[in-house]
Amino acid sequence: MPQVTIDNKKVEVPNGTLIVEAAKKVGVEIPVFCYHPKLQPVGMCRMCLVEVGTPKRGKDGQIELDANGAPAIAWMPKLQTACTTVVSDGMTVRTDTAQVADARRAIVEFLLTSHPLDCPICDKGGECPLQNLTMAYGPGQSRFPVESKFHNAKRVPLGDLIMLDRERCIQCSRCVRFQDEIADDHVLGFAARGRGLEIVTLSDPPFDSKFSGNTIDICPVGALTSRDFRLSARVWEVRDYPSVCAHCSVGCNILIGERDHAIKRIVPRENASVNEIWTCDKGRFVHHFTVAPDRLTTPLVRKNGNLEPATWNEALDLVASRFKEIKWHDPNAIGGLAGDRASNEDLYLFQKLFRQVIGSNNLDHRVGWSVTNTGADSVRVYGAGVGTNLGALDQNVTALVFGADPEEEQPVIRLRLKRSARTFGANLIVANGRVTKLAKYAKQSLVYQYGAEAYFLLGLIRAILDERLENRDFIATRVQNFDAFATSLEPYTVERCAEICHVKPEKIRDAARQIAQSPNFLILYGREAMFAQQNDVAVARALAALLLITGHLGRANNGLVALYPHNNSTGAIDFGVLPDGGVGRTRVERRGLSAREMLGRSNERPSMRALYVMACDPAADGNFVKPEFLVVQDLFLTETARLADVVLPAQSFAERDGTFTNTERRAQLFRAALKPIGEAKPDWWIIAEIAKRLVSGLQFQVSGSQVSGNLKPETWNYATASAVMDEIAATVSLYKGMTYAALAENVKLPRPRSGQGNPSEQPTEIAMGELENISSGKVWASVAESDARAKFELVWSEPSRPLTADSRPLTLAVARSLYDGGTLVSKTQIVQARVPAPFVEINSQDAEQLGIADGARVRVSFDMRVIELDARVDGHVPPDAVLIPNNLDGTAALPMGARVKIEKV
Amino acid sequence: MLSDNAKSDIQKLMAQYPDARSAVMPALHLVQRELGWLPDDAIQAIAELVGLSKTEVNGVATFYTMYARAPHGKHTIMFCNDLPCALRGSEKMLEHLEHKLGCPAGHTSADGAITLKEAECLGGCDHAPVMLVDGVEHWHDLTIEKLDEIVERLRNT
Amino acid sequence: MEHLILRDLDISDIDRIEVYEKHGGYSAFRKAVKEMAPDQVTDAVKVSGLRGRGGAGFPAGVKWSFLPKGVFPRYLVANADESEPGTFKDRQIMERNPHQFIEGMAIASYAIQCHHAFIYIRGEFPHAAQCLERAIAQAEARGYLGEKILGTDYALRITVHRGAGAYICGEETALLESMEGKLGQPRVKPPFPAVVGLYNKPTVINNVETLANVPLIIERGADWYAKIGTAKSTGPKIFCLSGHVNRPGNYEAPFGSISLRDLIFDLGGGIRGGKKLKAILPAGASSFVINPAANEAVLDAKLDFESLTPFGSALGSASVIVMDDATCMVWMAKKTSHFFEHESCGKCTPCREGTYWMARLLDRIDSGAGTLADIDLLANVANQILGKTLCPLGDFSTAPVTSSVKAFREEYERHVKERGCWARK
Repeated sequence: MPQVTIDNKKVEVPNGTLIVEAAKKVGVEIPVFCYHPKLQPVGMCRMCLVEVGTPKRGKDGQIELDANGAPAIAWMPKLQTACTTVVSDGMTVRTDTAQVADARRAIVEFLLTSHPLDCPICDKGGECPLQNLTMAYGPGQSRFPVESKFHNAKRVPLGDLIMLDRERCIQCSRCVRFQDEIADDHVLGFAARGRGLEIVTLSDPPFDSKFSGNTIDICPVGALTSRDFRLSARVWEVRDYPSVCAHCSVGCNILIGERDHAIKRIVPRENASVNEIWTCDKGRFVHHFTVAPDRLTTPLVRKNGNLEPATWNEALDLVASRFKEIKWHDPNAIGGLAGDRASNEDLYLFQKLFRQVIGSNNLDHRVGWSVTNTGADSVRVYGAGVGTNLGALDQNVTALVFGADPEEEQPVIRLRLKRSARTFGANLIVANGRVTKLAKYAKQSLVYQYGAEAYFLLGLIRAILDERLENRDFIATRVQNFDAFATSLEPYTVERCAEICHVKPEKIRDAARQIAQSPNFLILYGREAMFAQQNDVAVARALAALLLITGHLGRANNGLVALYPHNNSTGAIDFGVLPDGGVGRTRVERRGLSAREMLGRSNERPSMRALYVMACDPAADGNFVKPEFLVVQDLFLTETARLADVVLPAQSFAERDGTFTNTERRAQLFRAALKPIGEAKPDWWIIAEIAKRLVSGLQFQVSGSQVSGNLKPETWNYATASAVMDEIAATVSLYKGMTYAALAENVKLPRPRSGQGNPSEQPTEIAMGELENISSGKVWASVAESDARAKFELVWSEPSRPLTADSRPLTLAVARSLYDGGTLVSKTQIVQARVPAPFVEINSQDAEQLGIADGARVRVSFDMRVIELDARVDGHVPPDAVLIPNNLDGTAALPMGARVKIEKV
Repeated sequence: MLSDNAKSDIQKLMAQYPDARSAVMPALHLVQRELGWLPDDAIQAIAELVGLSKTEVNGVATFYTMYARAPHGKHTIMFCNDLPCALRGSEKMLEHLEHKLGCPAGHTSADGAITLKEAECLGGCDHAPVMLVDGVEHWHDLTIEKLDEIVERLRNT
Repeated sequence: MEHLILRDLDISDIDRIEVYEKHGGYSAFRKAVKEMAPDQVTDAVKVSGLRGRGGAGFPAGVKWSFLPKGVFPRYLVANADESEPGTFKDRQIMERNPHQFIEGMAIASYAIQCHHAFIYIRGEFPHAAQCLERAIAQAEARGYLGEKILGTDYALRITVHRGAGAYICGEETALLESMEGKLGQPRVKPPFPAVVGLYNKPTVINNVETLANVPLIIERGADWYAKIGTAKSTGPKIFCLSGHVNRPGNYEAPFGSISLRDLIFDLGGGIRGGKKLKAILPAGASSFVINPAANEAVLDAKLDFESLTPFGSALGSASVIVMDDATCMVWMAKKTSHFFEHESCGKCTPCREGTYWMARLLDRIDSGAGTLADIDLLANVANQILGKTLCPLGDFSTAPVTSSVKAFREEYERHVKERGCWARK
């Protein structure tokens, strides 16, 4: 490793280290504007000029010594940019000389000649590198006459989310490079040149990227500001609270910036294992629901047919007494539906209430079209090893991304997989029934026929076995039933599977070789694959078989990752909000009813006498029949809540502490940032209060002498969410030791800004990322990694035949759009333009046969439903499939895989 | 937007280079020759052909001075007014031209016939002053009389 | 004397391939491809002492030998983005003696084992581009370009790529960016183009005039060539003479054989209109201006790459702009300043902001609104740019400014005192 001397401090750094990074290691700050550690260096701003010398060598190549016997230094005639110069052994760097100070003063003066100097009205003021570096290195006075200033446009909307001030821009290109290099959405660019060089976007819609907000953070001046936050607070008045994004299952770490008891802005918080320093625009901007005027502020109780405000005691007593009464007759007449947006603490107590107090297993989180539980058993057993970092998979890792669309559903995972593929050379195989944005990073992009997923996977397995590429040692020692499995597979030749799934046999063979021969192999499966598993159990079995025959499990970068729809789908499964799954992914003895079974059909009598609905809205999906007693606990008066007998106002994630477990099984802690809205309470508190009330009467009802521990009211006394997690950490083996203290380890807390705290601790820039990769949160271990001697069984299922083309109707593929018609999105005005109008995508062949042109109005019929939509004919779906994004205007709760008929209106 | 000819010509250009992106400048030249300038739709069409974003193609089209992102007159005069030409009287001639066309450099005459642009050195300093008409015709050893003649001719063609 | 590069002055139709061939054309290429190993060609060019004619004077053969071994493909790019005000030599070569240049490219390509070479020609040279296209087509028809050249396994094609108006593309890395379909903004060096060049491949970039010298070296021998000119600046050189002289034009002479006095008063026929010589920009707009009155000896220095250094100037691309005694030096600096402001690519701070600032200061001083302090500020701003920019354009922009303030300070002060330009009153 080269050794370099910077301001007389010696440091050894890895080959390829830039001077600017080496300097950080010895505590020397070299000021920068264009340089950013996450972006390619460009050496544009010239702020980082330093003196650089290398050992002087004689004609013989020997290092010459000076009078003191030290190596003589040959100084380069010009100052060099520290951000582009790679250190070499013996290099000497001076940053503390008059020449360097002059250069910095010159660059700052140049930058300010055309800058408007409007810090007092600039959002960036207080956390602005230009401001901070001007104070630190600038001339303190301008020699540039104000009347000569170059003027440019001051308020240029770059789309709905970002405002550009061209006068403040210093042309550092960080935003352009972020879009090109990180987001890979090439929608920002320079136009013109010289002093007129300016940032433009010509995409339609403007700045068309799901990651645009990150450019605000990394802009070193106030050129790019948030149209949401703009002019609403000074940054030093904003208090930051560490939190976790509550939208998708990535679990981006965030800071909630609070002022006046409202979220002023959300910025990403660094976590190298989850989101680096990025977040998507939905996570950043869709927070207005937290203080929406229609938030529920008091409990409501139905009186004389109307929902009327009530006290907490009144509402809770009513819930407890009705539950008690119904339970007396039949505990199984009470059902619970809890959305997978709720925290682990809430979900844990919810199932505890049902299983241990009410005595019902009628529990589910899969409301609407959710199918999160399919394949969940496999995740428990084969889940990707702890230490897997989806953003740092290298050429030794092959990852099959199967039936997923991370760009729309887990945007930051798309960024991370792209980084793995492009930066570190990971081998992505992207397979789906349609072409998604991720496909461009794949070495192989395979499009199979929807409904034939099992054949695609069996084809891969068969190809591996045909070429004797299976891991025989692993199979011999750890896998049972291999021979029977292989025999069952006999009739399924690669050619036959290929014919049915519509992927060419040579492509299947090629992918199979890559999977089997790669040192590491990960499968990431998404929502479309979950539907496939639900429709055909052979899919889940084949996924497991693929891992088992290759032995790719039980260690980092191997195994399964389920890409879930919501922020805490994993937690809902982990904590047994399922009719058949108990806490810690155990099996319950007596299966309860699923959501579908509990809700029944519109023409049926409801199977439940009472329903407790938390953080979900089954009535929004239609066909909802109100049971005798309905309790709804939510932020808003949802469609279900409108029908309820009791409505309990819950706190949003921003008002309370809690934990979510992300799609990679990482439990992460979020902290309260806002004071509660009205009388809203945390879900866990409400559940505990109901439990206490139920238990206090029940103790006497229990026949016999034994009273179980959980039936004592004092066991439901949780002072805080942290206390709930303490119980989880002590009793649920998957979460062993995951107390708040443990989950708070390495959490990067905000550093003070200008005007806050000790000036010496203030960084010149806050969105740079740390020198060392930091990550926080805890991932639970799968069976395969926690038990090195576990045996696994190969289980055969005959795949079910997909409908053939000649018997078609078309197959409905349901997509998700990041911005949809959901309640949370609907409360944030500035993202509304990004919510697409509902449409149906049809393959050009089918469209031609049906006589449907691009943009035509069509009628789509399925499952006794008929909807009218605009048709898109643009090549993203294969023949025999149509694609409709869910949850846009009129497209809620679409059944994936349904047979649909399409006709022109 | 683009003629089929233009599209196939651009595809031929793309094939000439190891990386199709290199065809963006010749494509812009080609389309500007066909349309007279480079409207948004043309930028979009080129972007799609060469596999770039519209924003990236726009960057190229605005960086280089010979591309026009706004409609031009029927003819374009790029008049050199750099030092070697200025030493041989170009400044006075440019004033004369501006007067004659009734518009300052960088603009188009009211009749839409001629757009006048100040050019950077056109590499004809041995025959200064010089100008380039419509990107193809070089005129050198200019005099006021010669300028008048050329402007008249351009107005009538 | 026989012209070696501007052979069109001796043979008016040498742009026709059969005429060029009749006068020995393509025999050097034939000799290289058939009789010499690629490295021998490079060695010959090294021995010849040929230095780049684009301005920097870097030895061409050495440049070729920088390519990393075994990395293919490699590219040769001819820099025909001749944009320095006062420079028009490459244009004459391309329009009137194109085959010598094409032959030079072919030999250079063979030497570095490049199979696809490019000519980046500025967009304002449509006629020259046409001449090159025609010459390339003729050379292809004669089997000098294409597959299996002259019966060997060597293959080469040449593509003409037109720029579209950007001086900065004369800088080799900006040129590469432009060739790749991007904004013509220079890249950070290192890595140098020899290692990471066009499409990230090893690339040699040579000026048109440089390449036009190559056939001479192969045909007549490196030793013969090395004897032309001086020991350090070998070969013939084209001097572009413009401005206030009676006979502006391109003049070819061996390095070290003529002085500025010879060029201006003998070849150029002296100062136009009987006026007196006042100032010379020997390397176009990016020159340090020469004030002969301050030291007449400058007029008698025999011109080569180094001979003007003692006089605080440099020959660069030998674009000699001559100014008579009616020319205002503040105005001159303003003109060059506006040029560089317009041509700054905007990528790096000191050039983008500094050229803008200098132009505003010169506007002010020239208009008579300036102060004496502005003159010092101007020099100070120029020095603040110097040495800090990403590419040489920033430094270039300061040369005429700092040198004119130094050599003609009284003229700046006169603008301040008289509140305007004496020359235009």
